[in-house]
Amino acid sequence: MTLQDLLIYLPRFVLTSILILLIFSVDLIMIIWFERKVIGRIHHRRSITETGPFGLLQNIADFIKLMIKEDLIPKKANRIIHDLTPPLIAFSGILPLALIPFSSEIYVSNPENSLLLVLAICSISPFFVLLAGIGSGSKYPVIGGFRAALQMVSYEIPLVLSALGVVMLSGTFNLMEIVRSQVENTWYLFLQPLGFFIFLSSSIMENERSPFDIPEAESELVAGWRTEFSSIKFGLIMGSEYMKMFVNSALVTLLYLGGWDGPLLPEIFWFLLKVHLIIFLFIWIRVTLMRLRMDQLLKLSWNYLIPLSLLNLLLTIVEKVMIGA
Amino acid sequence: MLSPLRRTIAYVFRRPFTVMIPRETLELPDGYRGIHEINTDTCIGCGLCGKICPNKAIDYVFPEGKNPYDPKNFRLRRPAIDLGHCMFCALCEEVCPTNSIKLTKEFQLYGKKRIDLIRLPYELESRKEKRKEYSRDERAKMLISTELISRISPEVKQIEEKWRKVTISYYNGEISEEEYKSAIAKIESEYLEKLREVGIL
Amino acid sequence: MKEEELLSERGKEVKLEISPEEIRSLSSKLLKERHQFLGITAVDFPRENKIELIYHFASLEDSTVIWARLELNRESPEVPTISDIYPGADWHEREAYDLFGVIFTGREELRRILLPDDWIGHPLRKDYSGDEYDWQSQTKEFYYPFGTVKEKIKEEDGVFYLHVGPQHPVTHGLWRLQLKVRGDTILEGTPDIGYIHCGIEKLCEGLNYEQIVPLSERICYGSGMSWSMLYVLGVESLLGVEPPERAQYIRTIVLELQRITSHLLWLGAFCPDLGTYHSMLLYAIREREKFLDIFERITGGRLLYNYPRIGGVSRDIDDRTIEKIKETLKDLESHLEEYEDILDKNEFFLVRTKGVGVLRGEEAIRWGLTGPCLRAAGFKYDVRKNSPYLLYADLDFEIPVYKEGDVYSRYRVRIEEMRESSKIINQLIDEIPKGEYRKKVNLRNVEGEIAFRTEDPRGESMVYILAKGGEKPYRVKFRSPAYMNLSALRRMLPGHKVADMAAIVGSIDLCMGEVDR
Repeated sequence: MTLQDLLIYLPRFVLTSILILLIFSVDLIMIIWFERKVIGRIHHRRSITETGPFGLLQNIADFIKLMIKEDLIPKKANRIIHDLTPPLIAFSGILPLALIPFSSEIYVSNPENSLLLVLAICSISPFFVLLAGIGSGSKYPVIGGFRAALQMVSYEIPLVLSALGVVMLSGTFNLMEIVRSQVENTWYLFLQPLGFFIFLSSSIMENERSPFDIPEAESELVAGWRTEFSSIKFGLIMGSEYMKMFVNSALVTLLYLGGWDGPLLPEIFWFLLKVHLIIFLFIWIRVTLMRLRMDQLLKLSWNYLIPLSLLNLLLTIVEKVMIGA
Repeated sequence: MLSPLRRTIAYVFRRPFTVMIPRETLELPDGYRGIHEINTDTCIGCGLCGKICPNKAIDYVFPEGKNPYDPKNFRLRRPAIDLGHCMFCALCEEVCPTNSIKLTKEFQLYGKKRIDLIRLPYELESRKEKRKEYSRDERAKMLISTELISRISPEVKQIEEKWRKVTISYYNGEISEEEYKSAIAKIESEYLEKLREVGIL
Repeated sequence: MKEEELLSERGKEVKLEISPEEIRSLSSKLLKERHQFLGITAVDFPRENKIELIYHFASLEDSTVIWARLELNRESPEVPTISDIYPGADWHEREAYDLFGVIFTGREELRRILLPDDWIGHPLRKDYSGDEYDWQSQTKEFYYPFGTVKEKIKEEDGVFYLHVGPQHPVTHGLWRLQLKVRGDTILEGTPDIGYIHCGIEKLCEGLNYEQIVPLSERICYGSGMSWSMLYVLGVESLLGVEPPERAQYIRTIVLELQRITSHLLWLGAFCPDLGTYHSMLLYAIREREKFLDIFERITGGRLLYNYPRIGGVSRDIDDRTIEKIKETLKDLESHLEEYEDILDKNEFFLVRTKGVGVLRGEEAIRWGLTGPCLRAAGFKYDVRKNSPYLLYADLDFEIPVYKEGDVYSRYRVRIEEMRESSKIINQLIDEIPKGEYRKKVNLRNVEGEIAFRTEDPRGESMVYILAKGGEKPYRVKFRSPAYMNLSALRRMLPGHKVADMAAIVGSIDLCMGEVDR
């Protein structure tokens, strides 16, 4: 590209990156506060109230506390792996933000097959988790790491297959085009309710949240693969869980709920509202349902979710033929 | 699967069950078993509360100027309570024949040193205008003849033996008052030094 | 073999005196006639140079209790074991060895259970001084999993040892579980207890009968009223004292309230093990707070009450408290429906608890299960119906029984028991007669021997008191139900996955205070 193109393109790129990072950072702190408050209300009690009005500054206090703690490394642990894996996990959680459009004008980059790229980046993290578990040097993290790697087997296929239904209806892998076709027709939630349900369940499995939080099972293995990390490494791991939750809810919104489609207010507002609605759904399901055992999870995924997603593809073909005709 | 979700979300719309304690308070019922109050006038020094206490947290102190080891003075003794060993079972309140010892609704137990938890009967007096305050050193000196401190540290027992010999010989008339006072002052300073070393004072 | 039969209004007691060689044939005969094994009590008589062992058996059909008394020489006490007939007797034999020095022959290696492995001396003997063991030193030799102290473990192919150690979120209380695991399947599991042993039985020998009441409620801090009530009922039965009517009504009401409280605490501790992120914990604890407020009004304390007295109760109940009890029970009904909705209609809960941890049929009797675990295994047995005490003979309530013997049926039994307790209280609350609530009893010179059983929220508990004159007892022994239920874990665990361990351990309802005493 010529110098002229660069001069036009660069400021826009820098401005939108800064804007997205700003929205995301503030939102990350608000999600953690929001989760703790909602869980407290579901438990019929008051949650954080002391630091700041309504407890808004609690996460900053937690962050400072984590920074000043001592970094403990077990004797038998591999030093390099122990130091490197938390930043890598956080990195793989935050990278898809470069590909997700927040509205029709605010996006960092828009390649041709952005949906494929996002799904591919999201699936690297179980490898880092396995590495973190093995390199920690005691029995509980090893078990947790292997369980995380095993769980990846059960959610990858339904995730991609149910997203394929959306791709068939809109005809492209590009996230902006998918949203544009939803704005013109209806939201894909009404055309593909089964796909929505399967995509949501697989997202919960990918995030390792309850009811599928087997790698981090608190009651059997003290904290699974996260046991031996302390201070800022633990902060990065905890942050990465919420980053992935944000990215997954953004994907659900873009694919099924029409992205930034809405009547009067600006588009970014509708996008963030829908993302937070899905996050509320994640929190609600976490508080209510119980954890499954490993073999029951595999049975659920391979016996029920995969056939249902194939059925979903069949129904999509029928719909497309009917709409086309 | 849907009804658990429905039940949990219904709690969001109800008033929380929490009581924010420094700003709101909870009311304690009557009959709550807290810290003791003793009426030193109606107490007759019978010794039943000390006998019935399962943890042996009650022992007796004598007023100033009376011989603790003379059996004729037993009706002058009053109970001193070690709140660290007490389990607030209220058996002493049940067994007292004159209803002089009662358990109140006060429950804050705090102090910086171990000696703060051993309370003299004149500090636990139920008539508030007659209540006396003691400093830590004075309290320790009044408790030298009881079991409450020598139970915590057995090395104090040897000092108590010396104190007992001097006191008995003074009240028998064997030594004069100046000798008694100087000997007692020496023993008491050694005793306070020992308590500071062990950590009670 | 001498035999003596006593008939009382609570049932028949058969006292036998046998020689040590006959205990095995007696146990096999009693197992065939469906008796359960309650416990071994050992008493030390240094002046007559003998140690006496008493085996208690209780019948499951009627209300007979059989005592079998053996006399052993104090220098070399030896008895053949019955742990192949009744595997639940294993831990009782180890405890008798640990505290008294009785040696049981013909079984696997005898190890100490409540004290560290390298302790010197046997504490509950009358001439024990405590000077031989060096208190300041650490335990020098540990017990490796599944091997003796001398030999090391051999690592086989694919097998490794997982320690669910003393500090762990799922073990309620302080004990250790050693698991032998291949892949994800458990091959063997052994519990290891004794971390909070305080010697309550030895302390009781130095206190008066009235002073033992606040000590006995600290045996299990989750349901203290049932233990002090057990002790007081035992002493009253020994002396032949009948407390006034008003005291009997108040005692029954308070005991049933304690049962509801203890089951709510179990519910709150059981659900987080399966992974509900503590929402059931907070609902159950919030429910329990209202009951603790009622206890505070009646007795003056929330967790430890010091309420029953020999001859009645210590304080009276007023009308405002009675109204509060009625209100709270109405709330409990509606909330129990909510909890059943959250748990029973949840497919994940059903999938994780059905068919897990099964122990039923004759195996349940041999391993010594009592209480809700036994009723979930298919036996209709409750001490309140079989040999009634207090006012239970005249009350109208049912006993829930399920046949499968897994974790789900134990949960169902406890929820229904809460409903039955609420029904009992509603029958009694309006009918309390007027009168006095305490009678004076002379405790200067007490003589006799008694064994009294009640239904604790966790199972069947028994107190054995031997008094030989004077103000202090000669021997007091408490038999706790959680002790034998915990030893049955060795039978329930093999074959399951590691994730099921949390559900099984949670369903037994442990309270470590009464296991270790």
